[in-house]
Amino acid sequence: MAKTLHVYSFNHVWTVKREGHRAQTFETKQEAFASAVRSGRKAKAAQIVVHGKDGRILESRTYRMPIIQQHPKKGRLASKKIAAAVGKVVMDRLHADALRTRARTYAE
Amino acid sequence: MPMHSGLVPARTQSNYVFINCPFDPGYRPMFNAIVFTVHHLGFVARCSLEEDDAAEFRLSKIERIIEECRFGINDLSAVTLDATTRLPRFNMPLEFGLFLGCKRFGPKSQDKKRCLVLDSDPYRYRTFISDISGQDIRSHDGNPERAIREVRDWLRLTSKRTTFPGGAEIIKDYRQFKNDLPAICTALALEPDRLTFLDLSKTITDWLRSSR
Repeated sequence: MAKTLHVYSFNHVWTVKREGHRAQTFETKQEAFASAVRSGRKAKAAQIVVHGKDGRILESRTYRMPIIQQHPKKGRLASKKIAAAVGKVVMDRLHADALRTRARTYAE
Repeated sequence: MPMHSGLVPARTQSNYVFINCPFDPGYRPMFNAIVFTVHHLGFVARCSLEEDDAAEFRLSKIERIIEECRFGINDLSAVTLDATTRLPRFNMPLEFGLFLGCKRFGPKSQDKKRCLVLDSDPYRYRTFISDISGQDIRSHDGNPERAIREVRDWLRLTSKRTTFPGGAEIIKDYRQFKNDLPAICTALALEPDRLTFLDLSKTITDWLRSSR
């Protein structure tokens, strides 16, 4: 089961979503983040990621999971470029998952 | 005395893991799986591919990285006879020996070094490097997902950290990462096999920070 709680804005609505689960929506980023923190604290292990518009990570928190460590050296590609590429793919996956979850809910 | 030629001894980092393995394309799936697992568990994978400074001798670079790493993962599965030259490749046993030498003859700070030996067969080492008997030797059977489990179990045991995910969870995440990697590389206008080690490392850590 995915342990990441994603917090992001979609169609001007702040969303908290874990893959495979229904998304929760909020009016403000603060409300969305607070809800994610509550869920993260209760979970056996979790991480919270707040995404920017391009999918890049703006903020993250980890609960009872190893903290991911960056390599001390930089590569040839710009860090921002890699972060944006990863962010785009993760957000595409999240949006596709949101559609699947919604379709499943309606079917039920 | 430090092993490298610098005046200041390098500090051993308890979260650095030296990866000693072949770098040819055929080994790439195994290499990616090991690097992914090391980062998934909150460690940093280090290897000789990370260095681009042509002014430094290759062996000096390797010595310095080894000195900085508390853990070492040595895959000896590629120590086989080359079809053309009929000679085995000795880089991996050499670097493994350097790691053991650093632990044995280095300063006190190197005492805590721990290493894992991986091979395709659990007892093959007896026929070509039997002196390593007594080391932690495990087999991955040429299967990257088996390597993930072996690396995870060994790091769990030797690091004594308690917040480790299970092997099945890492494998599930690794499959998703493998699935996402081509799209990430398309966004970077690169082929997956063209990612340098440091760029792969950054891609893995960014992905893990948002997809575990």
